Amino acid sequence: MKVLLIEDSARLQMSVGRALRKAGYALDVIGNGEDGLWQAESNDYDVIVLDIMLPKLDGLSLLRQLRQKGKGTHVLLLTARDTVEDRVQGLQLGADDYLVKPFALEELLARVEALCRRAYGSKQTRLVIADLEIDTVAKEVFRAGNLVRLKPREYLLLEYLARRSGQVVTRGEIEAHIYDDSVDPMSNVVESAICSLRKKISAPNPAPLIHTRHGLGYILKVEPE
Amino acid sequence: MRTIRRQLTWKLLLAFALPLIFGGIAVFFSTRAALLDEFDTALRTRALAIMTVTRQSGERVDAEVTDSFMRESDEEDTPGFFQMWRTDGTILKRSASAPASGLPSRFGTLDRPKFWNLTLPSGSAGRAIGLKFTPQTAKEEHPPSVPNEVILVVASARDELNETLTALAFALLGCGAGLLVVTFIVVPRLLRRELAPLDALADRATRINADSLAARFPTSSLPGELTPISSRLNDLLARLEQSFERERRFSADLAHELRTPIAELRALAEVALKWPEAREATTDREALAIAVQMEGVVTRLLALLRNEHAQLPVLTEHVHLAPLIESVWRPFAERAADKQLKVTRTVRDGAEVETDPVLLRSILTNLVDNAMEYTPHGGTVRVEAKAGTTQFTMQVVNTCNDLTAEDVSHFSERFWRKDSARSDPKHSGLGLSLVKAFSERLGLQFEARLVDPSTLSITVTGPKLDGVTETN
Repeated sequence: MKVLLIEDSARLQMSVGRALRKAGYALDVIGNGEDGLWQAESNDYDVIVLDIMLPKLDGLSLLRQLRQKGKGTHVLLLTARDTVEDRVQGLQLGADDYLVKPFALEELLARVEALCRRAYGSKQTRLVIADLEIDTVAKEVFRAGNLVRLKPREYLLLEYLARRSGQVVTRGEIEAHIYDDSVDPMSNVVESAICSLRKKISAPNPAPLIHTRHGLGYILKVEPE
Repeated sequence: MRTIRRQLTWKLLLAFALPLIFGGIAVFFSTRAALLDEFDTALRTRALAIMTVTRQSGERVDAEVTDSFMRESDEEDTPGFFQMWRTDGTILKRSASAPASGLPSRFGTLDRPKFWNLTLPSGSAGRAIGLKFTPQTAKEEHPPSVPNEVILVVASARDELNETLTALAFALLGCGAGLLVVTFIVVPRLLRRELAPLDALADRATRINADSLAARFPTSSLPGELTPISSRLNDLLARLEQSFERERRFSADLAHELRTPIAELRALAEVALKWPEAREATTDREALAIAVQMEGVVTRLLALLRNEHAQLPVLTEHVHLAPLIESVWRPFAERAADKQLKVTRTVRDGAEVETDPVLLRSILTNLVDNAMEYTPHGGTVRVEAKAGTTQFTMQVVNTCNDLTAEDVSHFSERFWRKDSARSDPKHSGLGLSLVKAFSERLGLQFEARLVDPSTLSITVTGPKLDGVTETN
């Protein structure tokens, strides 16, 4: 899952950014409204965490412009403004959630995760494909009842494929949702991760779940033998 | 409820009714007097006619008067009556139509005859004239040794006069009542129509609340009497709107200044606790910086609060301005050098102020800090102090960027910052609020103005009476 954090406080960028990365999200961080709007328009984020008081372009104007341009990315407003009018205004402009500073990191992470689930039209915290089970709260994966130990990035990749099971997911989509800007687009990081993931989830049961569609991408589903 | 419309209705009705009643009464009685006068003149003419045909010859008095004579000048159905007496009460002559009991013998002189009302034999109302006169003597006759005096009473029916007066009374009453009814119907409607702008104004005023302070009353379409009210209300609304806006901004800024560092501190601590292996070396330093930042905000807020409640002690003593400015300036010298600022400090030798040194130092420190922070790289800063014969002045002038007169007018507002995002944690927007508050506490005048679009001047001035002296 890929998240964009638009926040002008360097300390919050550092702390919240670290928490989101540790929670397994691919993260881009922007410190002002103008760059934030450009970034949000140019990329396909699952969730945007947006401060309201921003230099150059305030968060509410950014949100308004984003919605006017037809971008439906889920937005969590993160702000010190706590009056009912502020909350109502934010939600009416198209925000999906509103969190007032100071906040508990756990709550922020839970809200971001809930918005990610909504991004894929699901309220379930357990994803099941054949004998593969993914607990999105505990971030644990089971195959044929056995715990599969995955690295954070591998888990994210599997969850993303599982949420879109039955659909072909392109390499570009995987890069956009799982990896942040630090990843070189020319690298074979996606192929390596798919390969590693296949190996780990095949250990308890060799029946393949992740299939390659040459020239198109990857699909997670049970294919008839 | 007491309303202008109801008050006006009743007062206008009263204003119409009273002249109407008194005017009607006056018209009735003046007309009655005129008609009676006319009637009396007719009676007198008739009496004079009888007098003319009355002759005396020796002791004999003759009057060639008949009932037909009386009828000649009267309507047929209202004949006149007359009766003539000698002064001893002997009846000389009377009309046939006169009552058998005779007419009452009441009289005045020829010049001032007596008039009175009476009831005629027919039972109808009548009016009579009575006078005493000396009949004429025939030419061929010698006048009597003692002139004969005769009393003459002439009466006539006054039914027509009474009917005319009754008709007049009814006409006046009818017109008056009609006018009152019309007034009672028309006046409230007129008032309702003419006072409609006032109703509209009241209706608009009742719909104004804290969320609609941007609304304004119309001024062009209102009657002249309401225009000043509308204008004053609009002024009041504008001030209220500004005040509410300032309060809203203050609340939002205060929330930001206090909540953001707490959020930073909390997030920093939670990340360090949740992922201790990823704890960075800067964590503690950041925590300390946040604490210092919050301490600064709280200290300034408390100082403002104490100043508001007059809890800040003012200890007056002689303060030499030159050493004060030098000691305030010294900690900023390095920052000024880093930014390559051209700084000049001008203090007249011997300038002394009798004031609180701590508060004055705080004022000057904030002014210099402000200038150091916002003067662009390579700009100029001028710090001046002088004590003239009438007043004492401390002034900090510096070059600036992107400031407008509107910005400068907000300088002394708490938490106001040019950067609405309030991104820089080093500032809270309380420095110049403190300068203004402390200046007022010391009886000094604070003024911030743009000398030109790129030069800002902040001046603190105090009168000589406040203890400013100059020594040579």
